[in-house]
Amino acid sequence: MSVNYAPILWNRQKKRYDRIMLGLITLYLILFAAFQLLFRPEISPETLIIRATATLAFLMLHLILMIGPLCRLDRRFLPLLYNRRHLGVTMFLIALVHAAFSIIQFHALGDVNPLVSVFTSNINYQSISQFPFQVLGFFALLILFLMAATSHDFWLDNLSPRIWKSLHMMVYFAYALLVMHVLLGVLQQEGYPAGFIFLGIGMVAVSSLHLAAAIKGKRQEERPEGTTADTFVPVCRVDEILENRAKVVIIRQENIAIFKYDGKLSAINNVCKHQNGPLGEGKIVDGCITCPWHGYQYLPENGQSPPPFTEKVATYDVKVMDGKVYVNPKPYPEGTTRPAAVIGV
Amino acid sequence: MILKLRNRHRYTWILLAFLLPVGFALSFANRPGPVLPGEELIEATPSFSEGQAIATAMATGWNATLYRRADGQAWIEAKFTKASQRPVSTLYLAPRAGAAPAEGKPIGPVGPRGIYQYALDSLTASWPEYHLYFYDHIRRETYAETQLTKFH
Repeated sequence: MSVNYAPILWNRQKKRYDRIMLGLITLYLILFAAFQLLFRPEISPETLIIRATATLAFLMLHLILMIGPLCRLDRRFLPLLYNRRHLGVTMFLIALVHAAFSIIQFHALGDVNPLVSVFTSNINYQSISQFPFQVLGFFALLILFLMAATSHDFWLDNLSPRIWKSLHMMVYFAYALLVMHVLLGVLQQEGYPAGFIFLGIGMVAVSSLHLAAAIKGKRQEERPEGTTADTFVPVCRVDEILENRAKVVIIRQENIAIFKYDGKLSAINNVCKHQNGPLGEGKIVDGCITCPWHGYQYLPENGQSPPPFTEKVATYDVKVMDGKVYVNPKPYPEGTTRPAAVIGV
Repeated sequence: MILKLRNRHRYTWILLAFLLPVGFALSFANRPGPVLPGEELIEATPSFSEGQAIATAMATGWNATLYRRADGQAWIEAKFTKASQRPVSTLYLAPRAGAAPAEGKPIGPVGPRGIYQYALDSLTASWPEYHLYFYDHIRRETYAETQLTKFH
């Protein structure tokens, strides 16, 4: 969290995250180059760079896409989510190197502008085996550029979390374009059986993780029914909520997280103001509800971030009767203090 | 994530889980077979020596000479003085001008700058004419062709 903008917010965890990331990238590039030079000694440096950066960026994109669902399926993966944006920007830069070398290698030596040549050198759109796959890669890179360029919190604040998140969900379209870029490109030209196998494994892994996370999320969306707009709705038993954790319910389109802490219950809106993270999947740390995605914090009684931070979420009335938890889904304005329900009273 | 975006996310992956395997299947079904059916590329074989030059060709950036040794072993020695701008291309030999790739005999990959020797079998070495072709596997085209001129 920050009250000011900084080019990059570094802390100990982020530095450690980035050091590990850069170390693994370096290791991959060394191993890839060694493998290629061993088995394809005739390979030129340009081709080696094109292939190394292509495979590395594509592998990183798979990992990036798997982090989100892995975190929803198992909280132990949450540390990977913390600095995912650095991973994404680095992946874009590596993809950019691949694109630059490819355009120079295949399009810069003619008398046509290299960027124009990408679109005009092959127009066999009706053919699968000779499809102009580079065009797919170009548009995928354009999406990745938009995402990298707007990855900073400055854009998140100015575009609004909803628009920013919608923009960044275009990564799924970029992924589909890149899968076809590989399927209609290198795998059509060289037909490596191993290439099809690796890509198939990657596709299945990414798709099945996202579908599994979606199914789990759907199951967790409990939608208890109330009678009128202003009444309390029974949610669950008190002992179903773990200490310092939350129960998430959706009542009349209100996404509510009910937290249990210090013998009390408080209800706030489940959507973090930072990136719309699921507050109800976080926990209470040092008396504050802490978003599992990037650590944004809110006080349970009023939904306000502790000073000097200014984020606020809506609050709700909650009560306990006969060991059961009831919540009123009518939201109070963001940051409104509501008394916590005392358990056992 | 707000409910609307979460639902959009869910429907996106249901759609992708259907479309990506379709794309995969189409690509796999149309994957190319061997470049020239039934032929294996002859590996560049270094260390041939003491042969008699039979024919030669010179062009900008490369030259090639066909040698034959007393024991009948023949090979082509190609010298590339400039790096190829075609990263995935093959050198092949044909007995006539204008031959299609399938009519030729692939003799090896075109590599970076250096001297390469490609062994020839006795049948190929006995052709009346030798035409060298450079085939680009990405663009699927023959981009250079020349005849080896015999020495008399």
